[in-house]
Amino acid sequence: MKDERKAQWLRGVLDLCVLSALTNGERYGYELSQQLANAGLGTVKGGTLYPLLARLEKAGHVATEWREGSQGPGRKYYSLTDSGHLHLKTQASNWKIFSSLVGRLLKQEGS
Amino acid sequence: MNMESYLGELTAQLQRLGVSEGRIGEIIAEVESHLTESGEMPVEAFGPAAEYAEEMAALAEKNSEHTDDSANPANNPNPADLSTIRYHHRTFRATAIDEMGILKYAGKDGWELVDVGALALFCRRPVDLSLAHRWEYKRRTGTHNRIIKEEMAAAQWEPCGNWIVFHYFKRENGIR
Repeated sequence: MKDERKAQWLRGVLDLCVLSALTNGERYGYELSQQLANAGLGTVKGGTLYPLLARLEKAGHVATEWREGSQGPGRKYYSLTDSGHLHLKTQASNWKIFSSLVGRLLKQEGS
Repeated sequence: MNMESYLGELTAQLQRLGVSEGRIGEIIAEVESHLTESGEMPVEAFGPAAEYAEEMAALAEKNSEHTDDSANPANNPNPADLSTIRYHHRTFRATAIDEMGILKYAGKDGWELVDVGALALFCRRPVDLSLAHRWEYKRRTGTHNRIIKEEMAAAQWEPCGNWIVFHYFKRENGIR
């Protein structure tokens, strides 16, 4: 699948993917981008990921903490807040409804 | 564009947009951390510095800090300085966009940078101008303060102030 197309689809749900990636515990930015790539979602560039994380932080959905690195620069760790959990739960079920609608519409074409 | 010049431009742009120093430091450290680990080219990963700065500035708190002249060491001269050479002190107003240009001319004119602050370069020059040296300056950008200092010391650069992620170094460059 073309990465461009994937990136376009991802734009609408990237915040939910990021919140979901945090349900197993805190992560720092680069770790998150690796996790999303490993999940098959393609490359999420830093220029997309960090502004999104800043928006989630501003909305109170994630909390952050700086840890000093022993060698390189420090890392900013993100973790899910209660409000983030709730937001993810609500929006994930909305997404499921929406994606099943799209799925039903495309059923004849995709097989 | 290499990482250091990208971080420098990003810092200058964030400063121009009125983002607070603390927040600039965080944004820069995160970009630096990501680039160090991923090995990506800065513009490829984060886009042009001006655009990334605009996007992050829109999300950041605006700067309410103002420069505080009591932090100016010229107001509290080091007693050791008084015993030997008498100095004139002068504070040059500057930003991360123009400060190296200002330092280049000030250094040639015998002004020695002794510290930096927000929008300010604290300089001194012997009252007796025959004692004045020329100074040259270099700026390094990044959060690896210790490593940068070691690298610069190896080339006889002396640290003379830090501001957020900018580290300033001076070196004597002949008689004025």
